[in-house]
Formats: sequence, structure tokens, C-alpha cells
Amino acid sequence: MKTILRAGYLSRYVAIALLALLVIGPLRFMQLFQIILVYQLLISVILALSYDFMGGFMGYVNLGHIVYFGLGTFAFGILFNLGINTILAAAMALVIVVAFAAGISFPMYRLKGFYFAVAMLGLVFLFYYIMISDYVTPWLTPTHQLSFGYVVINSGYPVHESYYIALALAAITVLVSVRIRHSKFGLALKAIKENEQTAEVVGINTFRYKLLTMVLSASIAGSAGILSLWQGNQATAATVFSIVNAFGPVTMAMLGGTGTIIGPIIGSALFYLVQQGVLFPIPAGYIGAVTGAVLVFVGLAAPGGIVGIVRAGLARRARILRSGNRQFEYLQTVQH
Amino acid sequence: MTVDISTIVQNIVAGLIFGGSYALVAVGMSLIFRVTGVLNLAHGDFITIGGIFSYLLVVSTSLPPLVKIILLVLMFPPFVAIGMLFERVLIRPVMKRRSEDVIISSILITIGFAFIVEDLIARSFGSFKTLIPMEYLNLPQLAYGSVSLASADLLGLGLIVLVTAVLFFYLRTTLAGKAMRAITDDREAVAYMGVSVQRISMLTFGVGTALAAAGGVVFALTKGFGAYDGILLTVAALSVMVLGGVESILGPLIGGFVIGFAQQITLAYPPTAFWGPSAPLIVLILVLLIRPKGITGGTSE
Repeated sequence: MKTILRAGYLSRYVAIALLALLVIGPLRFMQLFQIILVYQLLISVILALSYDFMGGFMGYVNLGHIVYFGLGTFAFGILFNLGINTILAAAMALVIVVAFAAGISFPMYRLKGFYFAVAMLGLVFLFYYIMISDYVTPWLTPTHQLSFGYVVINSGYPVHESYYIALALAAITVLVSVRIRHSKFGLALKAIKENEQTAEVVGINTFRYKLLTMVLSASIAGSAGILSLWQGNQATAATVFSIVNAFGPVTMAMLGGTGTIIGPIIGSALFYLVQQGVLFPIPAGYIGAVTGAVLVFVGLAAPGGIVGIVRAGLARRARILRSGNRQFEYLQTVQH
Repeated sequence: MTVDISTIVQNIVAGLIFGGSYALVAVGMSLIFRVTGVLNLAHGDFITIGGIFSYLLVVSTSLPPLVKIILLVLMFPPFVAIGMLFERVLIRPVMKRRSEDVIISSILITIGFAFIVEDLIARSFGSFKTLIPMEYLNLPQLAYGSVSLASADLLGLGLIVLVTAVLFFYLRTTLAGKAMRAITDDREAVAYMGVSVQRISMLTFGVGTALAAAGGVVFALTKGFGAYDGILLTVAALSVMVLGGVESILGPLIGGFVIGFAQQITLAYPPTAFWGPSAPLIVLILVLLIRPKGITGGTSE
């Protein structure tokens, strides 16, 4: 509770009001399609926030973040179809995701900067091939027929339950973000982002923090993946391990403002609206191009995202006001 | 699986073509990276664009076949201008930012560009792999004893050798080429010498892009290219860079052939054929686990 207190009075009330609205919504006034809409938005927020642990807090652009989501989905699907109890299957799938994240840290963290980013992106391709391969495909469906990357389970489409779980997961992720931000852990991440060599010299065990952040980021994304399959009952390797979708979390975080907490949330909301064609219609087959256009725009004009723009605007106003006062003083002095 | 001479020779040729193309593309990408500090994630898509230009040149015009072949060889220098324009418009604005910002900004811009290009190509030309059909160029099927080869493959190989030779010549003898090599050694010293690092960077982008386009022409002649291959090729080029090391031009060259042959062997052997396209990635992970510095060394920063 203490962490919410830090956020300041206005944001605290707004957050609680929003939360209350989202909790009561499905019970009172939300229709089914709206519940699903908000649910998908929550998943986007969860992915964007968990990505930003690596990208924003620590400065490691993990373009392969979606692999954890996808691995959670497929691992859960395979285990579920083996007849394992839902909760146990979910737990096991999460363990698999965490183990993979920890394991892949060892080779991947030997790279930095661009190299790290693109190498992690490569994992998306690799997993696509793995999931459509003959070794994996027979396990993806309850009837063990070849499915070319489709994983199907039958859990009855639990829309309401998954909505609330998503809401809880999103809330947890936000709380974790805030906790990290204001803790020694977050400070270490910031030091690593600023200058990793110096951080090492100062005594921070950078690999430990990098590993922990990767695992934390992965576990949240993996949970979202498991939940996603449980709710939707099916997923395909082509969407989950696609390069365009892999850039979703990054785009959302950057659009809103990387390194902040409200940033990825705003970015997810905005990007989700754009993707669904709510803000302007997108001709079929141009999803990639529209995503690309947003990426180019953010990269060129707004690397700080919306939060960055707002901050810059506020700083400019403050500067103008301040300099105005000083000019006034100068004029007064001269008049004497 | 029959192991006759013909199959072996064909596999060797295919490996050389893959390897040579990867080498060219990776040399281009590493040159850009070492001179400007930016990794162009749209690099692979310039391969596709090069392939498209050459395909259009051969299929849509009605020039005599010999002229077409000559034009194919001369086709990639205009890409120098395209690469320079790319740098001027999309890369230059972000170079002035802090170094962490440069990385994330250039990632966003180049990948965004890649997405846009891939979708536009797919909408205009379809998203399946295309290849220049032999008839347009009047190329014969060669045979020597029991070994048969497609002469398009030989043409592709010849192009690879030619481009590599021109590149080495350019970097060794011309002032701009020497400046590029010097910048990879000591950026500041070059500036003190009165060379405009900015102009050379722009030129380097052009040269690197032209190399990618040359790779595209080779692919168009031999293995085929598809609208959405771009990013996969970029990742493969990165694998080559990590494997080969980036300290010199030789690194990506060696790495390219290693990965090219690895991919060809994987493709040729039926049990592993499925994993062919992902061979560069598997090699990448293995290299990272065993020898992250790569074959010739150089930091992967």
C-alpha cells in the first residue's frame, strides 16, 4: 500500500477510480464484446509494462520479449492437452518459461546494444520453426492431428474469469513496476542502463540483476501467454511468433514513454486503438506498414514517447515563465 | 540419398552461392555498423529491393539477353545513391542524440522502414518467393560429363566474385575507401585529418546498401527472394557478423561462407532440411555459447 501512497494524491484517486470501474464493469454495464476488448487491452498493457523492465529500466532492448508470451501459450497448450489439471499445467508452463529465460540469459547477455536486440529477435524466428516442426505439432491439439502451428485446447472460453485474472495481473505488474522504480533494485538497473561498465566497477553484480530482470519480465509475459490461451482456446505460431507482433510491446512502450510506468499504459491504449482501426481504418494487409509508420514516427520525432512530449512541454512552459520574470527584473534594474 | 558427383558439385555450388551472398550482405552491414555505429535493420529488405529491381529489369523490358546480363551486373551501383538518401533522411537526424537514444531510435526507424517496405512489396508483387526464369536471359544448362549446373548459378557466383573484388579495390585504393577503413580505427583522428566523417558515413551507407542489393541480384538469379524475407536475412547477417567477428572485412566474409555452407548442408540432408532457414540462428546461439568474440574477434558491442 505504501507504494500507492507515493504516487501523489491525484493519481492515487484516479487509479482507484479506474480500478473500481474496471472491476464493476463486467458485472454491471459491460457487454461481452466490451469485456473482451478491455481484456485484450489489459494483455497489451501487461506485455508493454513487462517489456519495459528490460527496455526502459535496464536499457536492454529485448526484441524477443514476445517469445516468453508464446512459450507460455504453447507450453500450457501442450500440457493441457496431455490431460494435466489446468492450474498445474499453468504452473508447469510458467516454470518452463522461467527456466528458458534464465537459460537463454547466459549466451545472450554476452551481447549488448544492437547485437542483443537483434539476437533476441532471432529467437522469435527460431521458435516459429520449432512450433511448426514435426516434433511439436502432434502435441498441439487434443486429437493429436497435425495442425501446422495451431494449438487448440478446450476450456470453455472463460471470458469473465480470464478478464479478472488479467486485471489482477495488470495491477500486479503496475505494482511491481512502482516497487522496482523506488527500490535499490531499480537503482541498480538505472546504473546499468547509464553505464554498465561503471556499474560493475562500483560493485554492482550486473549479471545477477540482468538475469533477475529477464526472469521477472519473462514470468509476467509467460503468465499473460498462458492466460491468453486459456481464454481464447486457440493460438497459432504464425501470430504469436511473428516479427510484426514481436514489435508490439516495444512500440507501445516507446510510444507512451519508455522508462516510465504510465508510459507503456498510455502507449498500449493508443496503439491498441490504432491497430483495431478505431482511430482510422486500416486496409487489410497493411498492419505491418501501419506499425512501421508508427515506429518510424516514434523513432524520429518522439523517442521519449508521449510522456516525453508532455514533459518537454511542461519544461518549456516553466522556462518561459522563469525567463519572463528575470527579464522583468532586468528591466526594472535598468530603469533605475 | 544418392551421393553422386553431380549432387556434390551442385551442393558445393549452392553453398558457395549462399555463403557468398551472406558474406556480401554481412560485409555491407558490418561496414555500415563500424563506420556509423548504426545497425541497419532494414538491410535485409534492400536485398529484396535489389532482387525486385533485377527481376523487373529482366522480365519487363525487351532488351537483348546479353544487354540484360550486363545491366544486371551494373545494377547495383545506383543503390549507392539509395543508401545515401536513406542515411540522409532517416539516420542523420538521430545521430545527434545520446548514444542510448541512438540505438533505440535507429532500431525503431529502420525496423519501421522494413515493415513498411515489406508490406508494400507484398501488396504490389505478392508475398511468395520469386526467381528470374531462365528463358529471359537465354542461359543454357551446362553439363560436364555427369555433372550438370544451371548457368544462372555460375552467373551469380561470378557476380559475387566481381563485387568482392571491386569492394576490395575500392577500400584499398580510393580515398573514400581508405577513409572508411580509417574511421573504423579511430574516428576522431580522421576528423582531425580534415575528412568529413558525416559525408563518409553517408557514403558508407550507400556502399553497404549497394552490397545488399548485389546480394539481392544473386538471390534473384539463383535461390529466389520473397517479400517477407527481409528481416530474416538481416538476422542471418547479424549471425554472420557475430560468428565472423567484426574487426576486419575478412570476418564477415569468412562467417558468411561458414553459415552459407552450414545452411546448405542442413537443407541438403533430408532429415534436417526443415531447419534450413533457421540454421543461422542456431549457429548464432552456438557461437554465443562457445566463442562470443567470433572467429576473427572484435567486440560485439
